[in-house]
Amino acid sequence: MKDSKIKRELIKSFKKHRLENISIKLNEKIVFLEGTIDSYEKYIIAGHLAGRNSIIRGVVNNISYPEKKKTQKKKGKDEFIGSADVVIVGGGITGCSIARELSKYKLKIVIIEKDEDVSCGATKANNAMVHSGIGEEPGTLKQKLCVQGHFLFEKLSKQLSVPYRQCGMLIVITKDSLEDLKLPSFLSNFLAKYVIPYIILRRGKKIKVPLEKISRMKILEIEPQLTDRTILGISSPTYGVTSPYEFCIALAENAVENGVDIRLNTEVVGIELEENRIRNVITTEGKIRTGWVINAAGVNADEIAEVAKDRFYTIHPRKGSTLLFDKSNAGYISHNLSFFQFPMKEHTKGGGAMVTTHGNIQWGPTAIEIPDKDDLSVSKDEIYDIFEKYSRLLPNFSKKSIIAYFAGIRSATFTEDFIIEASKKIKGLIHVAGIQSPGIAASPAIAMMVADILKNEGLTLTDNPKFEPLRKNHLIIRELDFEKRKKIIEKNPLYGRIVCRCEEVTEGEIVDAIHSNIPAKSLDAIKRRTRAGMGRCQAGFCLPRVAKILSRETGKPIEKIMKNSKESQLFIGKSKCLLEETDGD
Amino acid sequence: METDVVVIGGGPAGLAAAAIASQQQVDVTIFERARELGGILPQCIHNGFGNFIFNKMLTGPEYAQHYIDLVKKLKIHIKTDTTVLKITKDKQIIATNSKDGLFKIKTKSIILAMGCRERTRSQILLPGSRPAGIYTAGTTQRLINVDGIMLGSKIVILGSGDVGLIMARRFILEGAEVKGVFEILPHPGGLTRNIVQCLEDFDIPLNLCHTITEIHGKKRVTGVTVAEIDRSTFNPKKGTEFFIPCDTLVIAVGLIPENELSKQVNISMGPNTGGPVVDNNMQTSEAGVFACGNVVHVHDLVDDVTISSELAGKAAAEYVKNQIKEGALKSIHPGKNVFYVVPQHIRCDLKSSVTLYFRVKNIMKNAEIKLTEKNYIVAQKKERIVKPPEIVKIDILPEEANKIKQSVEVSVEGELF
Amino acid sequence: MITKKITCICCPLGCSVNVIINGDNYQVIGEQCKRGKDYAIQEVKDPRRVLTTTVKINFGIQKMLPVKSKNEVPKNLLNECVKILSKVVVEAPIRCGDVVYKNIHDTRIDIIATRDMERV
Repeated sequence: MKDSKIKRELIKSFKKHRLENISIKLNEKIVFLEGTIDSYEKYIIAGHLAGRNSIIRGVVNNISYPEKKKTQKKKGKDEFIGSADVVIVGGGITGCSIARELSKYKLKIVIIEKDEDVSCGATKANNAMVHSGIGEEPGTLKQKLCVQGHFLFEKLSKQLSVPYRQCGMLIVITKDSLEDLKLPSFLSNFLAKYVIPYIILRRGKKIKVPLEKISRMKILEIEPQLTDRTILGISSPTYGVTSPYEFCIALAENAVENGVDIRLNTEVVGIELEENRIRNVITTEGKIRTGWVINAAGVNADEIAEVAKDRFYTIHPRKGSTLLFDKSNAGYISHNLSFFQFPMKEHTKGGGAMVTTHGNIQWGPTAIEIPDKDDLSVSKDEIYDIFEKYSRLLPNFSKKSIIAYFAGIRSATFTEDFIIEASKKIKGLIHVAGIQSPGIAASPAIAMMVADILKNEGLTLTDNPKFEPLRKNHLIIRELDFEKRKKIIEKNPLYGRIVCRCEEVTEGEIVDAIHSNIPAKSLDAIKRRTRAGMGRCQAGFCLPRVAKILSRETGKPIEKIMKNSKESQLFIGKSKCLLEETDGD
Repeated sequence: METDVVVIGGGPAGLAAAAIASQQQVDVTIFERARELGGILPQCIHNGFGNFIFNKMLTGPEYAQHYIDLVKKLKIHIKTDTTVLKITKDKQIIATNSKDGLFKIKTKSIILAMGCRERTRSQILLPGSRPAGIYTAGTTQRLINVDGIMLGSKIVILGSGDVGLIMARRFILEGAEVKGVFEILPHPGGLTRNIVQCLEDFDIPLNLCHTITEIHGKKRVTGVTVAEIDRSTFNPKKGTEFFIPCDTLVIAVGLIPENELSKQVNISMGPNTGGPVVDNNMQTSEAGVFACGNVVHVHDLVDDVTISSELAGKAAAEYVKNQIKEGALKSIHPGKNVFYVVPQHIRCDLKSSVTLYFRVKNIMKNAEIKLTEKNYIVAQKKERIVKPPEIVKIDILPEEANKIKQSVEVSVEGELF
Repeated sequence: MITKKITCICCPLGCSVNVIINGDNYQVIGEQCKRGKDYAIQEVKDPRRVLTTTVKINFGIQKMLPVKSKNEVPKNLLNECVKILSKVVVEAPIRCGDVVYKNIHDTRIDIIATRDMERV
């Protein structure tokens, strides 16, 4: 289809949605939108209309809307701080998977991460499901990579010593599943019992993912807490659960063990080109000479594409909020549970109820389009929406046992698929953008695909004979048996002292995290590595203790200890510091 | 390793129980996870403790010092900086510390005295982001008073429980600015004394029927949005929202008995107390396992903790020596206007009177308290005023208690305030 | 003639009491007991509080030493007293009851430690 024909169709559909004052330009199957609109909601509608046709490569949505903020550009530093064969922008699951994959070859690799730790974006705040691909739009790249990737999880998790549980997913169809269609009950019953299962099973066959229809009796036997309104279920047994931040940190640590360099607290602000070829990456800490840049910058991938002069997509942040419940509910359910609803809400598989690898029950996430790329607030409405939705699956569950809620931002494009390709304009630039759900499940396959692209683009990949696939063992004291634990404490008494009572984390493990090969230098970084502060008291008990250990081990005064990134100061100084200040009064 | 009585927790409950048990000539071991004894008391530097037991107003550290000195004088094994990981059904305890490592100890009796923990922001579903600068009141108390760490200069306090009120005054005396205390209920959660001496003395505004509807700030708290709430629905009233700039939000929304270890031995829990069901000896549903202090229910006064813990200590020692009196078990239920009552059971064949502690649901004036079995009045008394934040007590004489056939009910009638 | 409103804290009743001040004459309205009357007059004439705070301590097992005023100090001096005490640094070991600051703000009231603090 020619650009001109696509444009004509787009103009028609924009008119239908009363968006005729938006200017539409097309160039090599990329849509550029300009104009002004009176709400963010319409901005999103316009973008999705433009990206709906699967022939479209990307949508650049420059429409301005009332609350649109201009991003302040940070300044870069001019001096050279190093060189690399490959620079990976972004230390999330995507960047770290690619780094670890590329560390199998003789390459000098640097990850540039703007936050104080890896895994700080969507990676740390998604719902941890390793999808089988059954929920993805058929024919998409994300479905293909999800199917490939999720089969690799068990082996990879073992190599990296990260928890992984292939618990399977039950798609639950209840008497409420089709309520929005408002059909006569005999018809909706027929659809629910025969038509929907048939469609889902056929989808599974196509992508070679095993699925099985489960009768009401059987499903209530394996998940007795499910609502009595359950009609039947579809089981997707290859579904799993990982611990996404631990998985990401493990990939990064193993990459570092294999020679990858990570620069934290460093932001990419520019890219210097030489005859449309990557030359230097400019960061807030200095320049890095390189020929290859992998843009794995998550929600900021469009901004990186912009500075590399090849922006052909806009990321529109989509927030997902998740609720976490106390471990005392362990055993309440054993599978990932998804509530089948038709028609589906747009652009989300709808989340689920599940058990994390650490035994907490988790509900969510939501899917809300927001203008702000780092708005991680959770609203009361979201909490109640999740309560309501999953209470329909698990009506007797005690919502009082909630211990935390958090939000993550999906980096969605308007074409709503992964964009993984070499730049058609800039030699040496590889886009790995729009990695939203199922980004975790797909990550191993994404990394392999990127390696292939680099090879095709002319980067020589020579095997690294020293590559060590196994991550160095790190100790989790609570998991050791009595004798082993006793022995290890005799060697290092710090493993005997409990600092976080809820999650049973010892001082020794916290010290280990602070001195690991990607040193944990904030409270949250320690939390992600050790679980200190993740339990039911939410760090009320261990916060002062962990902060003091961090201060002792790093030699930083207490007021320099951060919750996470630079400005997240926990304390202002010593007691009496405010009284001393007022001395002059 | 073996011992007669293991006391888990070296706070006011554990110390009092251990001291009494030890005085009955049994071998007692205390496990305390902090580096020093005293539990929460060393950080409660304000006064107001000990009015009943010592007949004077002591500070928290002074109150603790008395029992620490007592315990140290007795032949009690004290294991501080030690965390109990596991209790088994056959009364084996697994604990860990950095000196002895991981170890097991066999005991004849266990006293659960782990105290309570604070409710968090999540438990009240407080919306907004998760920046630095949100702390529970008790954590701020420990940081400022013990660790010597100051955490902010512009403070908003959510909840008017006693710890929140006391911290409001502490923040002022440390040179910070307290923007206000916000309470969702129409009446304060803490004692009148604290409203006067912690807030009014320092002109700190107390805003009743208000709650926080959003926390602002991405890295560190920059402010909160506050709104008035509708008294019937408890939802924020539209149009009443206002923004308060602050760098710290202190959450003082109540305490929860800490019973994760208790649950390992499958003892029965009370419905509204959050703690184990106990009898007049503070014995739980598991023979030889006793509970006392805030593990059982959250107390207002440490004096009451000490009194009930001494009962537990004495009974645990008697259990070890096979001297415990096992009369028939009669149950006590909360009746009209009563939220909970402790103990939930009494064993008859008593020689001395039993004090029941209960919490009312509403503020009532000229309250008539009755303890009845069908139409028979077991005990009764009058109070000029009863309030939910202040525990009410009633004694049952032994001869009356022994007359109870099956169960009695505590009820309160009075003028609603 | 001035009227001052006082919340009585002598018992859980928390009576709201008005004190009418007429020169040296104090008339209490709304009290329910003798204790409440005495308290109200004291609150109007010369309100006093026990000051409880902390001072820095060197070589102690903790960083702060809790202290209190041995007797009640005038309420309006509380802020001045904590400022004075913010500069005080003591050294472990300390015994509960030890005087850490004498005659604070010329009140003839001493500030004493409220716990033992061992030396590390």
